[in-house]
Amino acid sequence: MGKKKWMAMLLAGTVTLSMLGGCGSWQEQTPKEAENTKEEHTQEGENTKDGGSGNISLRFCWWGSDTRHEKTLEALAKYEELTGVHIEGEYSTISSYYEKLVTQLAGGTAPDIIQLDYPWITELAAQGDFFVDLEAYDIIDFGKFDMDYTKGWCSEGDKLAALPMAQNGFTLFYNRDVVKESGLAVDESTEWTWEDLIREGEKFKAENPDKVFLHSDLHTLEKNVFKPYVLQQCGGQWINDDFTVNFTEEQLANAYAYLLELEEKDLIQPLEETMAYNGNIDQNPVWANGEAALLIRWASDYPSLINDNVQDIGCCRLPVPADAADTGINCKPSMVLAVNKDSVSVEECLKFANWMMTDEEAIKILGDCRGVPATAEARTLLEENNLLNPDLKTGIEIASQNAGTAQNGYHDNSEITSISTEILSRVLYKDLTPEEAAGELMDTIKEPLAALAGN
Amino acid sequence: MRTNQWKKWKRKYTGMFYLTPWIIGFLAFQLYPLVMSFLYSFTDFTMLNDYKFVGLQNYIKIFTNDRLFLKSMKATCMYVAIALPLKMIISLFIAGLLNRRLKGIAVFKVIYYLPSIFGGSVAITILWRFIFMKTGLLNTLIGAVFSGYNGFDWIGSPKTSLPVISLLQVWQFGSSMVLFLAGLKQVPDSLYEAADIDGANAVQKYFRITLPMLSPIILFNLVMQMIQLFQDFTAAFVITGGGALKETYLYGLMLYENGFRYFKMGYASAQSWILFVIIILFTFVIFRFSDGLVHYED
Repeated sequence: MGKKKWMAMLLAGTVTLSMLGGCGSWQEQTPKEAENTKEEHTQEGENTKDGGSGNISLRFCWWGSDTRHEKTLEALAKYEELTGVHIEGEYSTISSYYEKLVTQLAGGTAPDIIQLDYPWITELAAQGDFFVDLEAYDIIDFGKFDMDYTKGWCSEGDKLAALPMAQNGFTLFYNRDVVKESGLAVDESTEWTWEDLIREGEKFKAENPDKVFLHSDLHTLEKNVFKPYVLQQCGGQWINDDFTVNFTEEQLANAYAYLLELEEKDLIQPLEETMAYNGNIDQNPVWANGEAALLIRWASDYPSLINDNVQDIGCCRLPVPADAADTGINCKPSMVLAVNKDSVSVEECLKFANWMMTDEEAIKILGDCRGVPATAEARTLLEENNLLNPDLKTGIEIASQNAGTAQNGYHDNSEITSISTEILSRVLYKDLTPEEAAGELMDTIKEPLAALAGN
Repeated sequence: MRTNQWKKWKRKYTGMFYLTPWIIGFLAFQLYPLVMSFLYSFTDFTMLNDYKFVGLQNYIKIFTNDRLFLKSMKATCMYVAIALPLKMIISLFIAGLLNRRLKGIAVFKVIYYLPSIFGGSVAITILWRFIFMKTGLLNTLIGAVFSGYNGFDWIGSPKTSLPVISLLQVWQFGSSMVLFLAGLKQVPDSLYEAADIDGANAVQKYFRITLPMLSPIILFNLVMQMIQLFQDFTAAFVITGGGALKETYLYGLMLYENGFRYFKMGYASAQSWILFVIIILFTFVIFRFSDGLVHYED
């Protein structure tokens, strides 16, 4: 009986200790060590400031590929070495990043320094005041930024809510090896129309039936083909500042019809095949295996498109009709950097942001992991040190030279995009005709537009 | 005297003391959110800013002006209708097979229970994709048997995407199986012996003894699994994202999108209370019909 009691107590103690093990770690120190050193709180979610020594711990969240994570962590380590400020990296893919951030903001547990997509500034500003006005502090060296560009993309009213981290634009990528083998006539100077794309695609598929002409999935088709196609017809904003739209049903129907034609002519993979990857196009091995010729993506995605099988990628302009009202080529900051208003040390966050964006060492460490840097000085520095991929630079230049109307923050509104994507899927699954889909989209977005206007 | 009073007090309140952690957890993490979600369902709460009372507006909108509500409800009911009976039948069958005294049977019990532990992880997503995509394992096996078979997109096809994600739940039958196994071990051998004497065959014994004796456990599993399946979110979120053509747009996923993606937490709260009422109704129906079917020894 005594043995059983001891065994029970041992097991209960083990269970209790294992629960306490999730509560973080602490260092056991000798009294002398405790006197001379400072305690470090390393638990995620806990920002501390030790007034005695000035040791500060901040949190920085971002999304991206492995390359971006590695380079950013290297930059954080360097910053800690230089300043003693520890910055905990919280990184992930873009999937559910925004939903997690919104929940953290609601719960008051959001990181101190936050990487955002620029439309989120507008969406979140409608819900509350979360970010620091960067111009209210004399810490950021604004002289190194193009302030027209910066304020154009990162302001909310009179407040400068963020800094642009890098430039971005829609680009038509081509796999040079596949292009060479197939004889597809595309290079950096190519300026196709959408009809040219179909014509070239039909020729490509006749010779290469097993290869994919335009690598895509539902989400990239909606964002990178459907929206530009519509904007090229109507011009202006996708959603105007007064929450009206410029496009007509006929223009929408034309776009749906074009995408249906791409699918029917086998120039894109059938939706049934790409649905298996659930919006994660990078998990579809077609591009990575060198089985696809073209891809329409953001130029900043360039580093993530290179792998053992795909080493040589070129960039050219997105297809634009000769009589387009607008090129529809969306050029914007690839991501922006904001500081949480409730950070334990806004000044330290701003110092880090300034270092990350303007310091030579930081720029060299980060390279082009976020795309072509937003500051001219950073771009020059990377070029001089051969740290800026020339094809990536070409992609950005081509997009910038052909940039369409700068889109406001409502362009990527979550609910409207979700509706648009769903209706596009119904067209490609042949559940709706292009005309029916156009009517349905016009009807269905009325309510979310009214809700936006109400906010 | 004081010692006696202390002993009385200790006898009376020791149980409560041990219950306190659970009570605190229940109040903080179940009752409080339950009450607050009910209150939020009558507001335009977005999580991020102040909210105002909107009365029954959310509930009216759900039934009159939400084009995806019925679609999602239908998908969820179909999901439950496919997964629940399959899960119950398979877990009962496997429990029957494992209810033997054989050397090494414990290893098989662990193996059959393992899928329940995996949950809806990304690894499972990839596994399901490898099995059901056009160039996946299932099509390869079918192609090996039927020459000329070109493959089929089980995940991407609107007709089959829902059964495919339902199978993920069916595959994770371990928790039901364990309960059935425990129930099978409770069936007295004397009943089977008496049946043997009366000349009953295996099928008669199964339907006249095993199932009636297991009926309370069957009822429990039926209700608990039904509740869990109605609330399921993970399979649809990680495998199909609600596609194809919203055929897998489960109610849990709709709640998630409204609450966390579109800033409509008040509206999502109203939807969750509608789901609660629906689950209560189904549970009531099951209990109502169970009166004549469930056998309690006492």
